[in-house]
Amino acid sequence: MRNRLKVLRAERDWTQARLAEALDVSRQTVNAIETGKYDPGLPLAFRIARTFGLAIEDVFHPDEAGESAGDGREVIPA
Amino acid sequence: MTAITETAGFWRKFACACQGVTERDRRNSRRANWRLLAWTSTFVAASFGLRGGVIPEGGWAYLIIAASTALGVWALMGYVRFIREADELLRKIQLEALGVGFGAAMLGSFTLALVERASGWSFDAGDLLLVMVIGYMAGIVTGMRRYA
Repeated sequence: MRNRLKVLRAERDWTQARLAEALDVSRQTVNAIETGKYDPGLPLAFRIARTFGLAIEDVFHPDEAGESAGDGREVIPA
Repeated sequence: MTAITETAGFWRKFACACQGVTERDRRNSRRANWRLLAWTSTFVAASFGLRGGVIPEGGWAYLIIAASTALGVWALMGYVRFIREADELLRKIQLEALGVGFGAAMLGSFTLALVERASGWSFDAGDLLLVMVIGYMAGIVTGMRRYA
């Protein structure tokens, strides 16, 4: 999963600590999401999107190479 | 020299990761640690008391064992609360570390059984507990490093 968290945060001139406080998570969590080391769960992903006033798909999108359901199944395009 | 720099870098990252913990996690962690300390203290006191004959066998001994166990359950409840309310990355690190600790204890039990047969040395539950704690700590450090 890829995300635009770093870009969105930079656009608003927010620090990781400030975003972490707004999301009620640790700064380490924000950093791990930004660097792609950790994919957040749905509730946190929605909270992130809402914090930026965007839809979830505007923040998170699947990897270009790995457009699958994560378990080997192919995703059928809508 | 490179190894020293890398080690220093790792611990700096580790310290930074610990500092970024939310206030709720810090509070829950502190609560769980105090309870764990209370249980450990009573366990050690009861253990020495029973071994040294300070606590007489019978009713008092069972009462003290029950009190120590109750404190242990209280500590466990504190830890479960800490896990449940933890920041989701911290929860993931903790659960992975618990998995490593449990796996290490399982593997350790089989390995130590073989070593016992081969060498004649004898191991007890305390040795397995040590393996589990080392596995858990290694899991925490690895997780912090992976997601730092």
